[in-house]
Amino acid sequence: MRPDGRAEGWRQAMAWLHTWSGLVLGWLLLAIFVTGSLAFFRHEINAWMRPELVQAGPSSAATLALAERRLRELAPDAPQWSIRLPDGREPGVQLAWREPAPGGGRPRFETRAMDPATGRLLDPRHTMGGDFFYRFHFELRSAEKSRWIVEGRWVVGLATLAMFVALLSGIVTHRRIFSDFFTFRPGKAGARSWLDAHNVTGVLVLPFYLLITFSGLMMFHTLYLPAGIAAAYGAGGKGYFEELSGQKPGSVQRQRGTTARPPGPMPALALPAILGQARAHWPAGRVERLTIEREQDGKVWVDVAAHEGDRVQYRAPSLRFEGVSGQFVQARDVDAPMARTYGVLYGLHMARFAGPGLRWALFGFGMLGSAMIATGLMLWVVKRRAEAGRRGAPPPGAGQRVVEAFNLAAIAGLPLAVAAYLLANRLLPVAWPDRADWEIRAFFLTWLACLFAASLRRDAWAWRLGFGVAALLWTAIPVVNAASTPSLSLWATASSGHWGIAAVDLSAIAAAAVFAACAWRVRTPARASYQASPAAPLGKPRVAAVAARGGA
Amino acid sequence: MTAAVWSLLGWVFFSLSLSRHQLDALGRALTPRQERLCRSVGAGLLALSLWPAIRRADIGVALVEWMATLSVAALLVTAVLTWRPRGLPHLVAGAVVLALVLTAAA
Repeated sequence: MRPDGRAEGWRQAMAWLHTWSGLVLGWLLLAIFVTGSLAFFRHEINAWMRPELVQAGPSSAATLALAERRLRELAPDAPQWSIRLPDGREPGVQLAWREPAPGGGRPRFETRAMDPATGRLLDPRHTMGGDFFYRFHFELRSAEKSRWIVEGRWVVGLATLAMFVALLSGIVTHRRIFSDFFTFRPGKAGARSWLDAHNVTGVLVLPFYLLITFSGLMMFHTLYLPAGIAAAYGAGGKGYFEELSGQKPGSVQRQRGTTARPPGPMPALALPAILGQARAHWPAGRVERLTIEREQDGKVWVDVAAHEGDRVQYRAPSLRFEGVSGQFVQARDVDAPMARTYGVLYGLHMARFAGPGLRWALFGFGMLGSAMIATGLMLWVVKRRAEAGRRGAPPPGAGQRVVEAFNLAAIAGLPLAVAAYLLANRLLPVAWPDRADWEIRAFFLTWLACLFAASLRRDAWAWRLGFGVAALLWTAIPVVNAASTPSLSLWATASSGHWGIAAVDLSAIAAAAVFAACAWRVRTPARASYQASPAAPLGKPRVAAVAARGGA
Repeated sequence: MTAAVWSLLGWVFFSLSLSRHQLDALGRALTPRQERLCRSVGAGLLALSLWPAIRRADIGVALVEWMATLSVAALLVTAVLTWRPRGLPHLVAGAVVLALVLTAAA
């Protein structure tokens, strides 16, 4: 929309679209990107937040028999059992069984962790762990059991659509995308450094952003676009969901949601023989899960699922056996073209196939995406302040003040809140019944406090304070960890080879260093008397002198 | 790993095809013919970097890893051009040696 009313060019229209699609939901997108990047390492964060599980020993040939015996003790009459075998990132055995709910409601699942070496049940502290970041990322989960799941997914879907629009319009608007490809000039006055940072973090990692955004959008397509499914498969879309999960129509059906228990306890099963057959079927792959289901007439089926990380496409193939005799029945895999396409998109997004190197790279790309969004948000403010400074215009209006406050709360406040969540895990008493929800409340209350503080002050001093407190809290994490759970201190985990847990402490130290550097680099006009030289320390470009001068 | 090094070289040559970086890195500008040559060599090396990535069991995973190495290599070249542009020729020399060693060993 040009102020002089003339028709604008296509690039200008795209620039307008890019600005507004990025700005309106930018803070939410920043949170989604940050928590999503953290979710790449949710198993490692889970392990850090459940210190009691570190005692789990290595798995062996006896692990499956131990698991079966434990389930027989815990839930002999249950209609469904599940055993998840340990792997490199999740060292314990996960036992689960279906309990019919009292009063005939939806059946619920009970889960327990088991030591693979001894068969002993492990009792970790009650926490949502890294799964909180995972669930916040796609449904804005605010408590351990929340009623607003579907609403959260709708909001995230809207934000993802805005992200996709912002990405595409950003590509179109970027006029010198090839000549600016490697251009980063930190230390320039005004908006130039911020724009360079926004361009570099945006363009160099573009394949990742396009893939992750599009696949993220597609993951809930059944929620957002049900009409096409209903038109092709009928009102309930039942056939569609069966095809998605790889069930052939007319094949052996599962009984879902039955509230009546089958009579008597689970009969003796041939699980080791079944596992042996499955391993022979997949010589190069891993087995992830055995699901044992009992039907009303007493028949027992065992589904052995391959590890989801063995290929990109979701869902992993599975083999069905008869539980008592151990006889092979059928192999199942998705084969409808639609289900395979969805499976590839889902698998790409979840990146379960990623080894350690690729996983760190993807995490880094997620952090760069967060930096891209953050620099974009800063750019909006810095440009307007630069214009106001030049024309001697009146102080910033309400809209600009709101954006500045939200920027501070999102860019400095969100990392602060994440640190508070991790600290709460160590500081809250283990025996508290509600501690999982209180850890989550610590996250949101800290974030809210940052927003409140940002509404009061938004100048360079406030930014330095925000980054400084963030650096402090992140430094505190390995310290509090060592003090409250010495068996998980950085020294202990590094020397015993628990590198996943050690990585959380090491990342905390690295994050603290980054935020300290950011706090250092925020400059007021009085101090900004040097020109950044090529030998200047790595860090964000300093907040422009104009930005600080126009501060509240 | 091998793919990473080849793509790194590819990006280096791409970057040299841009006049902005020639002065910083080489101390002189290149002729348009040399620029075009740099661009072709760069594109060729990037395509070549696909080969070591694809020679694995699962092409899906291989393509994701290749995309990741492209981005990481581009970021590395940007960092060198921003903070140590004169170091670019040294980076090329080191990368060529590493690429040949890794390709021979694979």
